Amino acid sequence: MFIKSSIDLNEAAEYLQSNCLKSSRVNLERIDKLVKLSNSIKDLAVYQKDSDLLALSVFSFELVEQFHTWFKEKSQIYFGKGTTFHIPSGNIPLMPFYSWLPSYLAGNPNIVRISRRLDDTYIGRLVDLIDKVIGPIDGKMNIFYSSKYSEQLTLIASKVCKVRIVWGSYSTISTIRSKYPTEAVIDLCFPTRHSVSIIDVGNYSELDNTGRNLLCRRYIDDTIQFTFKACSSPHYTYWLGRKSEKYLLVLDFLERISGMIARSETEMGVMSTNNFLDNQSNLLQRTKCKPIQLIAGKSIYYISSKEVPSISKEQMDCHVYFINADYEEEIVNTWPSDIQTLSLINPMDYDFAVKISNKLGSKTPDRIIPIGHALKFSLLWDGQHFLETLTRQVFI
Amino acid sequence: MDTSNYFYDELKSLHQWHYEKCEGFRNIIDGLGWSPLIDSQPENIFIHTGLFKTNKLISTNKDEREMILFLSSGTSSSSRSHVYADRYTRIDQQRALKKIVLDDLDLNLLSRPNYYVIDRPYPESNSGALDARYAAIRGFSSLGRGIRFVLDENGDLNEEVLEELRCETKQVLAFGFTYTVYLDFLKKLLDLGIKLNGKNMVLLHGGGWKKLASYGIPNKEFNKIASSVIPNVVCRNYYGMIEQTGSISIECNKGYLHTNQYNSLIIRDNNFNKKNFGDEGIVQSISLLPKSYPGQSLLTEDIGICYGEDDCICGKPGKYFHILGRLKKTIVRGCSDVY
Repeated sequence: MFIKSSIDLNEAAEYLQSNCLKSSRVNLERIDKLVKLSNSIKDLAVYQKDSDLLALSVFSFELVEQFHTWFKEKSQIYFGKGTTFHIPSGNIPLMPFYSWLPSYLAGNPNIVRISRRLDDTYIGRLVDLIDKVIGPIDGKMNIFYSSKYSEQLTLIASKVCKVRIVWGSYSTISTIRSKYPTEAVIDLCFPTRHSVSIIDVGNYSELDNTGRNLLCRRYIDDTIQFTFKACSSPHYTYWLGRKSEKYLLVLDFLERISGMIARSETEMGVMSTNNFLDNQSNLLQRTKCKPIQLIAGKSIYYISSKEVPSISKEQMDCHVYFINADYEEEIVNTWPSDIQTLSLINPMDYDFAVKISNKLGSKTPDRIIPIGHALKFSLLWDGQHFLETLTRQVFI
Repeated sequence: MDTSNYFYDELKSLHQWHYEKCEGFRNIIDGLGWSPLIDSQPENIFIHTGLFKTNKLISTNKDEREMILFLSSGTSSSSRSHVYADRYTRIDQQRALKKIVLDDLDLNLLSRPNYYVIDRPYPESNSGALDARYAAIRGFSSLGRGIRFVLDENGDLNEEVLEELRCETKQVLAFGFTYTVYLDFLKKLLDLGIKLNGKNMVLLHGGGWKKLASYGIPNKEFNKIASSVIPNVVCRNYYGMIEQTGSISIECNKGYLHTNQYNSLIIRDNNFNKKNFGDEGIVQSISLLPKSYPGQSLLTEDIGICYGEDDCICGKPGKYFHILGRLKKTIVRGCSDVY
């Protein structure tokens, strides 16, 4: 159900407190509902020509599939951990639902805070759809709220929940932790992080024309049309290996990417203009070394691995860094902190993946995946297995 | 180069001026490695219009108090462009506007047409800043005689002024924002069954097409209703922006917007390469007027098509184009703040 701004504080608080109901046993009933819901979201997406909704339905279908794989291997009984309170980020229109879906599947009652930046009507329409599919009983146990009393309700929800999930930057997470104390058993935070890609120059040079184009297309997909907005987008791209024509190969890669961006639909231009504004806003403050190219409004810098530690977060958000590394040791020695995903040339060299993770030791990222899979949903996110984390196992 | 050498020479000098006088502009040009382009490809130097929303970009040492601050439309201060125009820039803008209107519309500026504004009376800002809407109303006022607001404070038709307009025997310049002209003027006249004599009237309208598009009213439909309510009226749309005040592009009698000696336009793809005539893309707008701020070459978020140069069927020179709309402000998925 959706608690909108018009609802009185006491009434809203009552709803939230009554939400601390029993969690359900993890079973296939919720899966059936989720399949129905995925289909309804897909229909709505097609009807409204809404790509965000379509992406959500794809996510939901994938979740169902991965849940099946996980669940069929289990002989134990699982229950939801309890009321789960979600505080999703405010710049992604459907983020509340991405956070809610796995928790619902795990058998939890949920309270989802909706950022005031999001469109009430848009969210409300989707919550209505959910209520219709999951039914009135489940509906009452899954509350989405967007209220002028958001502060008070967040305090209440933080007190009554058993699990709290917060998405956002480190500073946001720290503000939430200090402003809204919780006695939740688990206070799960997914901070904004960065990711790395390693392209072996030898492997790249061996790819034929089609292979190179495919790799570039996948790279663009990982970067969300070169915006690098996802935590798992490759913010740093190391070019590994020693080859006399290495720089030319880097330029070849960029040339292909810029061609693909140039040919993309006009509507995608908003990504480029946004990039360009961020880029120029950053440049206003100070001059930098000359970029090797401007692609989709982003300046591309080709730097030595030694320069990696001097890149600031602001620079990282506005520009793209291609890093020259002759040897693996250079990567290991300059590996940025808190990297979430490492993507490698596709098909992935597993031996290399193991070797580099051995060398990185505790700095190994949470995921090592082929280029093109960075945005793919996994039940394992930032090292946390959603279903294992959001459920409790009964020992018999 | 697709426009006269004179135009690009002027643009070069303007780039050079701003490069020397505006540190922010210089930092951007150097940071992008574009300084060699000032001489060789001046049309390939541009900054994003959004920079004026978050930064104070000034290319003069003059005291800020000597300048007028133009504010674009927007709901909050952070979403409005801040454009600082000094006296010289304002004079150039005013002269250019006069020349463009004189060249494009059949107006006799010597006898100065009576000036009607299809809007409500606009209060002057206490802060000294000039809102884009009011700046435009004031800008066009120098072309006409007097200033009469056709709507009252509540946005209703001012019957007294409307009666004056009906009885006009002199030439009239009527100006308004597209959606206001449509919703609060034409549509109301249509509903009331009132017809005006448009024989001596030029109706110039612009801006606000986004709002009108949300009502599903294309330009052709607008013109159709205008000529049914005001038969024989010369109705013209224009394209312009607060950052490039003065150098507007006015629609020709064949329905195309035209550049002129003060401005130009380039359509770019998503990687900012120039597109061919006839291709849809992102609009870069160039103006030779801004001197006190670096607004001479701007990448907008408008989508347009430029069909050609100097060969429009109307016979008017310049590039001729259509503006199709604005890039949608889709929210890019990513990890960010909760609030």
